[in-house]
Amino acid sequence: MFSKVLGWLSADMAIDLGTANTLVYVKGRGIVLNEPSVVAIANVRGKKTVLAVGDEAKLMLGRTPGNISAIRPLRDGVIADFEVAEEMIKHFIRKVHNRRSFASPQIIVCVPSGSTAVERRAIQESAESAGARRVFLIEEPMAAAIGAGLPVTEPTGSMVVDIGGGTTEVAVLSLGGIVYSRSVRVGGDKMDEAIIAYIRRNHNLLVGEGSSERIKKEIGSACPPDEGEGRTMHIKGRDLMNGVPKELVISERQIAESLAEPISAIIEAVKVALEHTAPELAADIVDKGIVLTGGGALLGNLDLVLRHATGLPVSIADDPLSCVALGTGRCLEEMGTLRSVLIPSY
Amino acid sequence: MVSLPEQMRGAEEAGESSGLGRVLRRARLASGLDIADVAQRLRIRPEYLEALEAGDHAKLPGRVYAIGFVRTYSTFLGLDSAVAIERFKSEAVSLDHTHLLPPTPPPEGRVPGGALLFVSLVSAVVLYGGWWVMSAEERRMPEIVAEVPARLQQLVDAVAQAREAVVVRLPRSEAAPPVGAASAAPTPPVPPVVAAAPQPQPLAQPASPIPVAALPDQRPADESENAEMAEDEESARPAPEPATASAPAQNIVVAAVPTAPSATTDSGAGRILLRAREENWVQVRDGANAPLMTRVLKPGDVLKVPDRNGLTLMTGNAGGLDVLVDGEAVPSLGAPGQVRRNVALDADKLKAGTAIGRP
Repeated sequence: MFSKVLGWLSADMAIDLGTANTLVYVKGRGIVLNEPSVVAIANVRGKKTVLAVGDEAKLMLGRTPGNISAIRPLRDGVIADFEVAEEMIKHFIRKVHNRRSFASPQIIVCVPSGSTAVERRAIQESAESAGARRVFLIEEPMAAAIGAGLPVTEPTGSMVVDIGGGTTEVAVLSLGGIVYSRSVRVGGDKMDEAIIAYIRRNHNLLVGEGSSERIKKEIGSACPPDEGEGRTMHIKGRDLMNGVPKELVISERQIAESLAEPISAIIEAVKVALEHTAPELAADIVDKGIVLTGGGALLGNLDLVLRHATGLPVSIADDPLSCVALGTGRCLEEMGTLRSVLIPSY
Repeated sequence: MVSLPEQMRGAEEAGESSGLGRVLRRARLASGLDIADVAQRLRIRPEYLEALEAGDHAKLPGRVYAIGFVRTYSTFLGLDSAVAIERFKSEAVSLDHTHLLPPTPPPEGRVPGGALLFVSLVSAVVLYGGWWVMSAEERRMPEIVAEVPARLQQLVDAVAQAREAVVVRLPRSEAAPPVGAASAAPTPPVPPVVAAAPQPQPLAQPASPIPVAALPDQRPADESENAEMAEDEESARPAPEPATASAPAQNIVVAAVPTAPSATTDSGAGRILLRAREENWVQVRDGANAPLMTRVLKPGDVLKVPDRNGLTLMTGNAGGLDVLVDGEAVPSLGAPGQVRRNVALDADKLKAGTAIGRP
């Protein structure tokens, strides 16, 4: 009764709680918030307080003094630090509700399809203690497919590959359910790490996570260019030999080389998923192909590499970064009909 | 790379449609590729590529895939994919967004809410209406009953007139001397009585049907007056005459013992009269022990026993019953409240006091 009254005062939300970015979709308003999943915690006289969340906190990442720590509460698609994650969700709920303190919205949160029951429960409890009246969970590939506009409720197979910050989800969907899904803990973060490791190994230069992400976005490619070195970029970091800051130029070909390992892991996941697909669904997928969503889909030539590896047409969804949030939001809007695609809460 | 707007301008200059399909086709032909080559390279089925070039959007598998194909194809042909997609979206308005309706199991065994509610509401209204109408009729019953005496007043008058005839005729027909004797008796506590036995064929008796039909209805009104009037008459009239029209009209009590169809065609009155002093349950049985008549006599009621052999009486209050044979009281049948069974209704035995049989 009381919660219903609070429900009128609050806007229902769909949250794409991603490893890299958190997107919040508010019912009737669309995506209202897209910020990095970073929280800066200040230690003031032994008491931890939230200093900044989102964009502000991301700028602090890797540049913090001793009494401040910038934390990414999610790793590999799941919550690694419960308290911080809860603070972050609380902050986003308040921000969406213009700091009204008694908001108690209904929330749909998406979870990786490969997450365990314990991890799902952790996400649900974080959202509940952050002030949610009711929490529903949805599996990420389902949300991504709905957000991309795939006909997931039709009796036809659709294959979606969602490459997020922490995980890559490969799933075959039909009739409003997931026929097969595979989640590998390879995503944007692993690509960043691969770039850092490559530069460190080949150039003895240590670059930060932020720099490597920038490199990936600017000149990242899944396969080396046909001829030459491709595009180049100036990168700055610390020389491991001399211990002094240094700048050097890196080429597209080198980055493509560095990304070979995570890319092959993604290809492998897609191939395994195809192997496990029932023949009828495989026939549908051969006809229409694979749809790529998530930030990883924006990596240059990834569709080309996947097309080459699988022999299937590969399409990149419109606005791949928002697919999961849009799909979760659509479930929120069409709660009446799409209720069945949600995971019953624990 | 030739930009897409330039391509389009070229297409328009060449007098062709400015559709995206034409642009794609021109770009492909300029590169010297045929559909099969492109399909092989892009893994997109040739029919979809042809549909894209022909602008036949109905043949494409769906909006998402179609946009994906446009992006892949235009990039492959060296065109600006973003512009191509914008162009395609503006052209392919027929490819609407997917409608998501997950398959839901049909509701099994569940009551059809709306219909059932409607039907039950209607039946509830009908039931209540029916009950209301019925109970309204019941409520009107007392009024009807109340009206009856007024309406029957004419009948009562008619009865009074008819009774004169009956009373006059009765003595003549069969029991004139005894009744006359009774009324002439020095201690006549009995109000003048006319017993009109109901006939199996009432229409055959022209005089009796009216009183027989009417009297039972009149009883409630009469009964209370009955006893008083009996007393009144006793005191006021030392020698009441049975034929007086006014007195019998008020005092007549008819207690009729039905006669069997095979009984004699006379009015059935015998020599024995049973008169109740107190409220008294009586039953008269015939020779075969079959009940002829059962009734509760009120104080003052007189029952005329038909002249048949083998009749027996059962009474629940032997002391409250006066038995008169030929107008004379015979010994009492018992104490008040005593139950008597198998009392032979035989004039001689009653007189002799030997009528009380063993139960």
